[in-house]
Parts: sequence; structure tokens; C-alpha cells
Amino acid sequence: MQPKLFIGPVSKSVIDATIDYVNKNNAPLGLIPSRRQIDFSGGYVDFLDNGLLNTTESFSYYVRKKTSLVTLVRDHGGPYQGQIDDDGIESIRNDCLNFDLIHIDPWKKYSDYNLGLKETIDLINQAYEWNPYIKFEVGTEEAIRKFSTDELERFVLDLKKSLNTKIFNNIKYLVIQSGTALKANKNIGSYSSDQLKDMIEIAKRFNLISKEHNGDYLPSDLIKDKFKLGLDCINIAPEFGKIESDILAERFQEKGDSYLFEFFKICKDSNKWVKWVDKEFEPDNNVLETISICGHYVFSYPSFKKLKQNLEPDVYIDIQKAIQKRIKEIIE
Amino acid sequence: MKLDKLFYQNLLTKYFLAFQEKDLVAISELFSDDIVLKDWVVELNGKEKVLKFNEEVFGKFETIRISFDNFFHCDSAFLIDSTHEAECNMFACPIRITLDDISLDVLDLISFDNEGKIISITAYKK
Repeated sequence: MQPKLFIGPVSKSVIDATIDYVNKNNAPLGLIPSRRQIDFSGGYVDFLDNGLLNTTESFSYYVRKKTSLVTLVRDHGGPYQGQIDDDGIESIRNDCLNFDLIHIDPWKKYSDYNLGLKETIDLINQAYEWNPYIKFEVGTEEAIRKFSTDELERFVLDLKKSLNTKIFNNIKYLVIQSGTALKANKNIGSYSSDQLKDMIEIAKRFNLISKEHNGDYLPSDLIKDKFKLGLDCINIAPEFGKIESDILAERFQEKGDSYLFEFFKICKDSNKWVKWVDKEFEPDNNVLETISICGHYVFSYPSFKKLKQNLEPDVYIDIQKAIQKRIKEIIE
Repeated sequence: MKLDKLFYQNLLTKYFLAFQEKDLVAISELFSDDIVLKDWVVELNGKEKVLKFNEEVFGKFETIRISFDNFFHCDSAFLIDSTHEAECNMFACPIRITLDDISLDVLDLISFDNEGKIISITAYKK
């Protein structure tokens, strides 16, 4: 059985809640670390929480020691997706040794169709050489590069023509675009059910699993409608970080405004909110929103770790419950 | 010696993580056949004996947690202990190990051979 929901491991709580959920419910889920979250040389997600190196390899070990029901997927594998603007090759080599599936996504660097296609083919061939059992996801989300229905079909056909049949058959997932885009804590995409159906049709024609990115902040009913229309699965990431950040903010506020302000200051100084908001956004006038947007980026900061010692540890039980409640709403 | 920091950081992470998870298979893959373990209680030679000792420790405690702040590369020129003279792939790792409700601050000196296998662990209790 394939997972319907793929979750961005934006924090240790999200990872642990996912593992606990699959084990309790015997229901598969996917975890989709981006290269900035967890990569071969580390990342901002401190899932080990003990000073050890949070790498692709230790992440895979951490999850697989606890469950076999989580599919491990590299999200946006490829150039310009890491902490530095590299070619992404060393990252993919490590992914081949530790993950089930790699989303091959060179489109941030190459928006030109032919260049993006060529890089996709090259990266797939290279990854297959390292691990002939590794599976692939192709295409990208519209915030990175928009695909029309015709172009998506041409893309899959070109991959089929250019790749050895055995290698093409390792492509399992196709990213489809039906109008999702994230800004601050909102999904501002303009949804088209016709486009969704057309793109799902392409995936079906090539025996691929349709997958949509940026499913965050959508009403559960809309996600379920998409599944009814034939969408196989969806990615959700920052929404789970927001759930955790909001609960932490609430607990700090209960403790006293100075604690909340300290959390806000760590968030504001991190500048991690900048890419998610408009130029006019003033953090000082939007304390709770700033925390909601970028709280999860600072969980590994020593200043935040010190601050959270002021909270009762049971806050993390509540956070995991809230994350699992949202998972349940989406897939059940 | 040209130190590949990430390479050794990864090996140390694998070792401490496997220890925390009581994963003897993963630990065994990291050990050289000739490993030497010395701590404030025992001195053991050879992979089999060290793994057996680890198994005994794992059986005594339900949970093991290791906190690791940093590691330091030791240059052999500065080592007084003659058993480590020839080893330059040695790292000093100050850790806090929590065995159920007992916490110990320990300094582990861990040496690797040229193939990246652990050849000696010397542990000092604070």
C-alpha cells in the first residue's frame, strides 16, 4: 500500500509523531526531507537532539530502527537545493544509499525545458548507476517552475524516449500541478480541478503515481476532493511546523510575555521568515505570525534549546497529538 | 595527516547512535577485529570480547542516552599514553551517558585505523 500523505520532517516532533502514527495505525506515510532540512553533511532539523550529526544516514537509521512503514524520500534532490549552491551530486549519492525514492528536481537551476530535461536524465542515470533499486519522482511544483499539461506530457514522453526502459521503469511518481503555492501561513494557489484531472490522466497513462506538492493549509475536504478526483498522494511540510510553533508560543505566553518575546526575538533574528512574506511584512507588528512562519527553523538553535527548558516536557506530548490529529484528518 | 572532518564525524555519530540503540550488528561493523577497550573497570582485547561486554551493558539498562557536544582531533605528538603513540586518527569525545537514571560524564578517546574501523576506545570517568 502506497502512502497518501508525505510529510516534511521539519522537526523532531514531526518525525517522532509520524513514526508513532504509522506504528499505531499500521498505515504507511512518507517522510520527505529537503536538502536544507537533512543532508549528507547535516541540516537544520535536529532530530537526534544530542549533539550527534543529523545526516541523511543517521536520519535513515533513526527512522528505520523504529519502523518499516515510512517511505523515505529525498524532496527536491539536485542542484541549488542545499545549504550551498552545489551540483547536488554528493547529496544524491548519499540518498541512493539511504532512501527509497529521490525526487529529481533540477528545475530551480534550469528553468529552460531542454536543460531541465537533460539534467533530469543525467541525474537519474547517475543515481541508477549507484543504486539500481532506487526509485524516482520527477517534475516539480509550480512555485519552482510551472508546467502546462502539454509540457508535462511531453516531459514524461521525452524521459521515456531518452532513458533505458529498465531505468524509466524506476520512475514511480509524477509531480502534478493544480494550483498550490505557499505564502506566509496560507495556500495562495488558484486551484483548477480541470488541470488536476488532466495531469492525473497523464500520470495514469504512464503508470505513474500522481503527487502534488505544497498541500499545506488546504481544508481537509478539498484534499479529500482531490483524492476523489484521482490524486494519489500529497506533500505537506511547513503546516506541521506551524502546529508545533503555535503550541509552543501558546505555552510561552502562559508562562509570561517575556518568554514569548524571547521566542519571537530568536525567530525574528534568524531571518528565516523573509522568504515566506511580502516586503511590507513587519515582524514587530506580527509577533505570533512571525513565530508561526519560522519557529521550526530555530528549534535547533542553542538559544531556543535553553529557552524551552522553561516549559514542561509534556508540551511535546500535546504537540505530537496535534500533529497526529491533522494527519488523521487528511488520510482517514 | 589530512583530516576529513565530516568522515570522522559521521563514524562517531554512527557509533554513538548504534550504542544508544543497543545495535550490536551496527557496532560490530564499526569495530576492527583487534579493537581494544579500556575503561575504569575493564580492559578487553578483540572484537568478540568487546561486543560481549557491550551486550552485557545493554542488558543491564532499559534506556541509554548519549549527549555529545563536540569532538577533538588528537595529535599523537602530544599523547603521553604510549599505547596511542602510533595512532593519529584519534578523537577525544566528551560525552554524557545516561543509563536509565544514572548519568555519567565520560571522556572517550576513540581511534580509527586507515579503513575507518575503530581500533581502540579508552574511556575516562569524570
